[in-house]
Amino acid sequence: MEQYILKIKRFDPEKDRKPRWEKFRIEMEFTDRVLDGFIKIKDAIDGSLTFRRSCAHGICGSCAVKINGKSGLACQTIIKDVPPGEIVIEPLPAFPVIKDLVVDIEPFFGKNREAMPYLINNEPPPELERLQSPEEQEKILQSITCIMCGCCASSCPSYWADKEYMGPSALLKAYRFIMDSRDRALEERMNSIAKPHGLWRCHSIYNCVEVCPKEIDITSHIAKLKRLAVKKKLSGFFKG
Amino acid sequence: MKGILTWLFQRIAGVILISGLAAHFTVMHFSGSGRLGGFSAELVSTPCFNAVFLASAIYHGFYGLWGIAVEYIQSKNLLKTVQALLFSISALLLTAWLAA
Ligand code: SF4
Ligand code: SF4
Ligand code: FES
Repeated sequence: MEQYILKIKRFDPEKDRKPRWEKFRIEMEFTDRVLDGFIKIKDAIDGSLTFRRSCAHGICGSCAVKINGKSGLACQTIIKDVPPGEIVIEPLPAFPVIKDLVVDIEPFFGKNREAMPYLINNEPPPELERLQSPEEQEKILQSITCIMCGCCASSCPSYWADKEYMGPSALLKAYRFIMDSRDRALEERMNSIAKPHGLWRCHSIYNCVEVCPKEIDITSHIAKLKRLAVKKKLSGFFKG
Repeated sequence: MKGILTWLFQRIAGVILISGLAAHFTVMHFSGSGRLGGFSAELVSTPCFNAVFLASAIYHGFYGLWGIAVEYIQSKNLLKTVQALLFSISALLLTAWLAA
């Protein structure tokens, strides 16, 4: 066991007028995760420390926070992988803070809903299921692994600046269904993203790719959508 | 679908600017003979070359400023005013160059 200092940005709307920093000295194994540190603090030092977690295995996306300046999952970040010294923890940037490390994720989910994150297919369903070939599935394989943690959006400079920008994960959702061989709502979906606060606000800064815990190359998925929009527009011209 | 062509033109203008700058610097400043392949000093200073280059620079720059405005300005009315302002300034610049 070794001593670690977790410096956590805290905010209690009932007590604090602005956020404050608090340091916690705790013993941890180097194989522990940052989330284990939170749990230790809550159990043994300060029961009021507030954070989200559910699966504790990188599946639910609820424990996303900013760790040493970079958004990531607390349950997926091993202590030995963060530089020695103080570990600085903050709530996800760009989202309103509710308490301590818990942020209001609703606006983020709302933007994902703009991308219609469900299959649209009005054709009569087949007897068993709508099948997809391995090649067709390969096209959307990365995009379906998104766990909606919000790390990408919270790290995107365009998302910080433009309050109406759909953001990387919503655009990735759009990609996921646009490229799905079973979906039939291409036109509607393109209209929902090819707009001033949609596709064109992504400036290929790649911050989202750097922080995505599922290692999804979000920017290249967005770039494919931009190319598709251009292709559709130009083919519309040539068809008259 | 909105904003596709304006975005595409910005990309095209960017490519024109980079290639134009590369041609200008290589021919005018680095080639010694004032000629490089098909490019000559005369070609990169023709009114046509200058017009395309200037129009691209104005479009690229003002589209960039418009992008910043869309991201930072939340009031729809103010955004419309900024749009009109940017459009007028760019038109003015182009006209001033054509008249000169
Ligand atoms: S794309 Fe990656 S970072 Fe963004 S919400 Fe999905 S899993 Fe999280
Ligand atoms: S690549 Fe696009 S979506 Fe990703 S961080 Fe940059 S601007 Fe945001
Ligand atoms: S607790 Fe579920 S992803 Fe971290």
